[in-house]
Amino acid sequence: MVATMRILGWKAEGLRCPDHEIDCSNAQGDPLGITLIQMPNGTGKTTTLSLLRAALSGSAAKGTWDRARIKEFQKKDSDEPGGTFELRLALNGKRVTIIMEFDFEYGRVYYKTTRGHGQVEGFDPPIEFKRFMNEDFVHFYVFDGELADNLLDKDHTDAEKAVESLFQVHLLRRMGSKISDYWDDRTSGVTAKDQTGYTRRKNRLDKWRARRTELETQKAAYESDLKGVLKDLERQRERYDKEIQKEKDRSQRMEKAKATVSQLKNNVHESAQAVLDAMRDPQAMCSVFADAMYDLKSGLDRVKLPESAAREFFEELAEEDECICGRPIDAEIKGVIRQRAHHYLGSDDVSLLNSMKTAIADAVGVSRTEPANALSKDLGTLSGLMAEERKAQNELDELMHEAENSDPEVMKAREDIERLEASEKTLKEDLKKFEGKDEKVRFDRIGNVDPDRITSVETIREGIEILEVQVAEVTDTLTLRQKRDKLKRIVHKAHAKARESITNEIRTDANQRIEALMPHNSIRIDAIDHCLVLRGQSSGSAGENLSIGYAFLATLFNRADEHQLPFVVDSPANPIDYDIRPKIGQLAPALTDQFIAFVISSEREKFLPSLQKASNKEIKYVTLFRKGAGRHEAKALENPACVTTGDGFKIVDEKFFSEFQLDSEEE
Amino acid sequence: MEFRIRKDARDWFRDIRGDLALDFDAFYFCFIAGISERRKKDATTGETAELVENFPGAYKSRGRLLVGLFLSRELEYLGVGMNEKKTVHSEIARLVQPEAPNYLSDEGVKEFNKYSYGGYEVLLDWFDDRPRSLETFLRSFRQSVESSSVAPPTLR
Repeated sequence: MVATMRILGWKAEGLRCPDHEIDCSNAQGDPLGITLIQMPNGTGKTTTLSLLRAALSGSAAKGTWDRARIKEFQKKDSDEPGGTFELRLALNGKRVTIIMEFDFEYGRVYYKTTRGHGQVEGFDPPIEFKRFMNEDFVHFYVFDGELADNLLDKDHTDAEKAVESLFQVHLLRRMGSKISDYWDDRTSGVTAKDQTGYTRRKNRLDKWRARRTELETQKAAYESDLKGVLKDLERQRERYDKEIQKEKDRSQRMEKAKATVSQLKNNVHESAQAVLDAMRDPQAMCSVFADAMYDLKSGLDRVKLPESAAREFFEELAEEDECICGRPIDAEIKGVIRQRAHHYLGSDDVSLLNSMKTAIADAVGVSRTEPANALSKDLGTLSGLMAEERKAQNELDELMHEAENSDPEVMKAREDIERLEASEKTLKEDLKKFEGKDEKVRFDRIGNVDPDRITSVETIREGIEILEVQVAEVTDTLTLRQKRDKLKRIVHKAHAKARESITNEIRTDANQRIEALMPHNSIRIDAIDHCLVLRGQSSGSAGENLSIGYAFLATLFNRADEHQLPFVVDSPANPIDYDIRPKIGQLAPALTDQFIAFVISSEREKFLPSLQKASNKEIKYVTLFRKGAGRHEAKALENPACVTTGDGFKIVDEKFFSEFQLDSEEE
Repeated sequence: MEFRIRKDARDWFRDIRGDLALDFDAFYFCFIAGISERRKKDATTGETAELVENFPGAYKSRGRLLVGLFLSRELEYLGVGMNEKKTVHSEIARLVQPEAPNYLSDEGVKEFNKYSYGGYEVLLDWFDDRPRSLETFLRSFRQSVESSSVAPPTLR
């Protein structure tokens, strides 16, 4: 679908330029092909062009302009708090109005957009026009006379930028940076992102795994040895018992002694458990503790803590209008009650303290020494049982010693048992180092931990799990990185290819237009590489360069099958030599279907006649100047087409336009 | 907030761990040693291991007494006499939390734990080596507590 933009007109009120309204349409309301606006320098031409760009791009929306920049649009010496600029457009034939409301007090600009669905807050052009209506792009069709010249200047990249923005080729480049952003985002927490990082982590993991294998092998060997020792031990004990039993009487005595030892061991164990439970009572542990608890309870009783009234009572009382004594409670008293209520414990605290006091009373209320005495008694019993157990053990040892001395076989078996028991003890001790967890290992600094110093299998396994996650993390990152690089290469290639084919097409179209404009001239564009590069020559004459620049812009913005945009040009002929001006005048009507030019009076010479001659369209002539230019004011007021605003005059009249001679307000 | 035990203290009890029904027993012996010698010490989270939030098992019925013992030592530690009603009131309100499973505020648990952390160092002073049998340990421990504990002067 072709996107056609036409400017129907605009209105400025309360801004730095004189209040004015420009209508770029004919009597039927259709947009005119050419509108010439003559404004002396200092009248606010630059302001008006800036307003047009801001309205077409939404660049001042959402607080993007600062207070100082907004203040530049306020009328000089005015204390009016606001101003308005209204731009009327026809977008694909449909009316769209963009209003900018300036608030100079708060330094804000508010946009309103009116189109098919009514007025909405903000800058809201139809979506199909958004690519033309943005800050980057708008200055390619609202521009000053120098732009066309710059297009051939290698120090400027405007030609390439215009192509990139218009055909949105730059989005491919932006996509490239989005891919990088995504990568950065995904890998922000990963410290190792390359092959070196991967190798480092993999080597670390391999080292920990090797240590696990080493420890597991060692542990298995110890366990196997222990199993053998225990088996031998069992065998030797059987042999020992067998040798002992050879003598019946001794055997019976030993069995009895063993049973006694075993029984006493049980008794000691049970007694110790009972003592342990008794010691869980702090008051039994020591009478000093009982005294301390009792003193706490008594102390609390003495100072009446907790009070019988809880904090909640007073908080509720403060809500009442009358005290329980009948006296009124005013706001001041309420405040005092609420404040002092904090001096009382809450009902939960009261309840806890009361239950604690009850527990203390139950435990030590009758006697502070009794629990400790009872424990001492239990400990006495335990000591007695331990002594008995020691004695029984000594008796058993004596019997065994006797048997060993009388029978060399028993002695041999005893010696073997002792040797094996020693081995068992050593092996069990050795195995302990593999057990449990090494609390000293800092897994948060696993890179600095030497696994060879760790003997806990559990700790090594935990470390391996962490390292495996780290390796997986960097492996994922490497895969993602390969994908990123591949995608970036594709996007880069697509960007180069798209730009090449588009610039080739634009170049061909522009050259056709140049041929039509200058049929007897062989100058052509060779390439669009940053700037426009001419075929076989670095530059043309000033007139040729401008023709080529304008032809290029027209090729971009006036594409019959894609889009048609207006040209709004500030001083199209001013910086140009007199002999070139007719060329520009000739060119303008052929470039675009809507040409709006801001001119000063001295610019008319040589430019206006050629423009009029080349145009077969209706031209609107508008002269706008600020109040204070005496003789022009009088002449303007004589003209029936004169419109007076608060600070300026507008005359829509070809004759007045042609005769007006004022280049600058300061003259 | 939970009671915490020093990791080195837990390790110290490893040979009689099988005879102690609860890990809290080891914590309790440390606490009692700290209370006896009035020794409090801070420890980092890394140096300690989480135990429980409440008074578990056999300690359930003794929780209020232990809080009472703790409060009496803490008031003494703070130099607060029972005649200073307002201060006693505010300090108790600061340390207890009736809704908490251990009846203590976070600050209260923190201070309670400090007696246990300090108490482990007391055990190292009292014993030449770590305990190998429960019965021997209990007898020695009781003896040390009795000879160490003196009455808190400020509460009298």
